[in-house]
Amino acid sequence: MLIERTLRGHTLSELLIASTIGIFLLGGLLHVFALHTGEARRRLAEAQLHQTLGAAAALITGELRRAGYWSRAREATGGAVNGFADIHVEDDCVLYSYDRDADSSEGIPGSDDRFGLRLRAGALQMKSSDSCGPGGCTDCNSGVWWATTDPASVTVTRLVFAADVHPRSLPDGTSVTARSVRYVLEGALTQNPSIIATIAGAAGVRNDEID
Amino acid sequence: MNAWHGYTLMETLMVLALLAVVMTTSIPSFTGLVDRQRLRAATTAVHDAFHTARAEALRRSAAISVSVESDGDRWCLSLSDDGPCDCRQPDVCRLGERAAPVIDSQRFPGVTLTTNFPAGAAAFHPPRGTGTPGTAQLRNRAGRAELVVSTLGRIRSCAAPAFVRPPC
Repeated sequence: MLIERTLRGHTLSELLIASTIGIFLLGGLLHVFALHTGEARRRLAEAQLHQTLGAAAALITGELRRAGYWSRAREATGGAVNGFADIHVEDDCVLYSYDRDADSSEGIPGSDDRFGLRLRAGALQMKSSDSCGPGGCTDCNSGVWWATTDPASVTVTRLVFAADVHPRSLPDGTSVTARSVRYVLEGALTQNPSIIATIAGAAGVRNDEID
Repeated sequence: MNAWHGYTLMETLMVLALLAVVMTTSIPSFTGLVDRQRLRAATTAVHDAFHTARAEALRRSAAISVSVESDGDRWCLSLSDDGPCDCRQPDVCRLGERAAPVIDSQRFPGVTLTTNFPAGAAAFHPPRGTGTPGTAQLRNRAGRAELVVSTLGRIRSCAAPAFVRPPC
């Protein structure tokens, strides 16, 4: 038996309502997708920033710990003085030396034993050698410096060094000074300066100063 | 009352044909998106490997090699604390007691990797993390990215088109 009510297609208004709902759902989905992509991009950028600053902090810590090393310190007797012992700390700059090639018999740093770390032009710079110009060996602007970070991707915005000294006396009257250097390293992504990160660290200098 | 009816076959076919046209125009832009993501993922993986190599060189006080083997579209990259190694062989590249992770091109279809390090391997040295100067270049249809290692061990990266990384 035939059903009296005939079959009908959709009316225009039904189609419009359906397509409106469809567009809303699709829009919502696209929005979620866009949010997700943006978040992924931000995470990647943050990871890159932390990686760069982490590597820079590891470099700073390693260098400061090594400061003052003199290969012949053990054999040195009498009035021999370790010329590597001095550490010069300024605001955004630290200068130090160590016996890189273990070749200093007199305990006097050569030009390729003098190092430093400083903040210049948005980059952490490292000194590879210094023959000490007119300003002497405590001039943060003398010597050969290289950037260890790339300002095109990460701008180092702040670098502060501060020295701590802990002097003590041995029973025989020798004064021994344990030293450590605190630092704060702050950087931002060059392409998105709102993404910033800060690392605060401290490095105990492993070679105490002996007077 | 026979005036109302559902869609006819012709109408359905026409709608499907229209949909097909829309899809074919949008799929190329989608594959472009996938290509870009693959290049980014490969660049990030290789960049991380270089950073890890430098960090491990400082941490272990040992020279760490970054070995790259490439043969056309296939390539692999791995780290080793025992000189350059062949990352195509399983468990040959080692960091201390452990097998070093291998980055394989199979994870990034269509992305090629070429380097100009001497003998195909870069190395980072203690005590200051100094490196073998050279460039690693990743490429696919979507663009290219470069990682540049300096003598001082700085690892610089750029990408074209730029994404998160600065432009090349």
